[in-house]
Amino acid sequence: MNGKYWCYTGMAALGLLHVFVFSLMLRPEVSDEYMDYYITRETTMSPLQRRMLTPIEPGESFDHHTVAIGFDGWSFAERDHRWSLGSSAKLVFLLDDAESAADAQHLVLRFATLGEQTVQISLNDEPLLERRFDGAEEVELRIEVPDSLLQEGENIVQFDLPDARKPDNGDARILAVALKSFSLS
Amino acid sequence: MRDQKGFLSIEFDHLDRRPVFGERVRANGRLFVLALLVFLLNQALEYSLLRSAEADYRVLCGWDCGWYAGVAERGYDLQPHAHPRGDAANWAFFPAFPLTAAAVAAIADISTPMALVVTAKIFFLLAIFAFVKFAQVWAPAVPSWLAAAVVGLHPYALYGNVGYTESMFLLFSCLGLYALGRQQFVAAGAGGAVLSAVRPVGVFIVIPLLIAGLRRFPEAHPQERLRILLGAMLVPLGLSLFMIHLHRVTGDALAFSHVQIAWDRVPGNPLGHLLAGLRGVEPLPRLWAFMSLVALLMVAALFFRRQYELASFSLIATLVPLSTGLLAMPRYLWWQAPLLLLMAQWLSLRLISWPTRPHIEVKVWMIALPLSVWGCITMVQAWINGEWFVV
Repeated sequence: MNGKYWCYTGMAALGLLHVFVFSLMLRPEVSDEYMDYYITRETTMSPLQRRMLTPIEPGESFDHHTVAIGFDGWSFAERDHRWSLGSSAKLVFLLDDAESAADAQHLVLRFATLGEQTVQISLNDEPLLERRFDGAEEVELRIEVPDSLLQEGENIVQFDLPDARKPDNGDARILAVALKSFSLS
Repeated sequence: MRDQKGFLSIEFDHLDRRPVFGERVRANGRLFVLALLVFLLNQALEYSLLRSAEADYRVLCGWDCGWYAGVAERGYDLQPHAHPRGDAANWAFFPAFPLTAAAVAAIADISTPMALVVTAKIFFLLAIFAFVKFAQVWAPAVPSWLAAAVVGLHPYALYGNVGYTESMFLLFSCLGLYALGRQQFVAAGAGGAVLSAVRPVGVFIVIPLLIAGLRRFPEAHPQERLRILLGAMLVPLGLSLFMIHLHRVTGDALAFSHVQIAWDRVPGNPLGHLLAGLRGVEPLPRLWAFMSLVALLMVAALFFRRQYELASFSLIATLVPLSTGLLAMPRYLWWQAPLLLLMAQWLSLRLISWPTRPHIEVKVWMIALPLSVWGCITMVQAWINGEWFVV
């Protein structure tokens, strides 16, 4: 056996190994949550954050630090608020049972906006509100929830924010709404 | 000198006459003693700073060293668990360094954090020696003592002592590029194979290997062509094995890259990060952006000198981390063998001379080296004080 033989054998073995690794790269065997967060980056809620969601009750209020509800498309919690990131953001929460869903008649949101902003809010894909805010002061919105819109299990409040923009202070984030608290009543 | 195609070829006059084994051992022994002296000087500085701060060696395993300790002790995480979003796992930390430290811990019967620090220091010593050898091949005019001093006493030499992977990265990049300079393609590939398991950019040493291979290919005999191909195929071996392991643990062979989101390091336009840093108001990101710009200019200088192998390696080793932001850029830049080599070449230049007194001259290193040692001391102090910017 000469050096040429060893070269060919080594190259063949390495070639097969690299092809195998390439095939592994193309077909990850992961959960949907992992795929959405780490690979396609369709959500900013990590799989652990999703697992830490706990069912909420009407009447409970949650500030922007809570881990009971999920912040998908939101930045990190700052001292007084949590900014939305980009032109869309979601609040994800769980309801224990149909009774809790039936008890809740209003969404209560307290937030401020970055200057003038149009805010469209929908619940479980059903539009609830579209309003323009001037950003002058903090607002508390109390939005009526139509019957049967809330459901047992996962519910999503979506904010569509067409006027989201970078602030003028050098912050590179695209911001619109600074959320302070959320509750069902 | 330039060959018929206009390429700059490196002449290894000092290598043409093959020294006998004993001569080689003695020459390498002298270089190793030189490396050891510079290393000991660095260690003495560090020891005196630790003593004056009433700190001990445990303080040297901080920041990322904790992540490497996790890999060395428990292997790779099955689930992400750390950081406020619970999305961080140790998958981002390549295995070659923590596995070596685990072996050191088992052999020397010391704690894992201490083993990481000791392992980094051993690699640091070897990296100084390897850099001197690398410099002899790629820039023979640089005095060996200066090459050793540039590695051992530069401001970011700190990272050779703190349980980080930088010293192992420098060692294997020097070995790979040294072998490449001597057109030993299989040896360069073997060095690259280890390097690809040290840091994410390690695998890109395949680019200089391919460039050197392509330059050599037309004149190479068939057996040598095979060795060029084998060397290139060897390089991703370390990374491939790591990816297979990650796929077994997490189901995602690219988990080391995907988990970067936990550090908010999402790949983007490197030049965008550079410009944002230069235009920003924060002094440290501006400094790091400035350093990155200097590094890119150094890469351009290497291209201009037609040292394409070194230039391509540093270009990728600069742009890849820069694409995810400016944080920690200094240690990604100043542990790159080609940039350190260029630095050593500039330091060996004459700054001032007097025509009437040719024996008196001021060289750049006479001013730069004391400043460099001062920077080295400042960085060690910053580490001991737990400053965030040393991360």
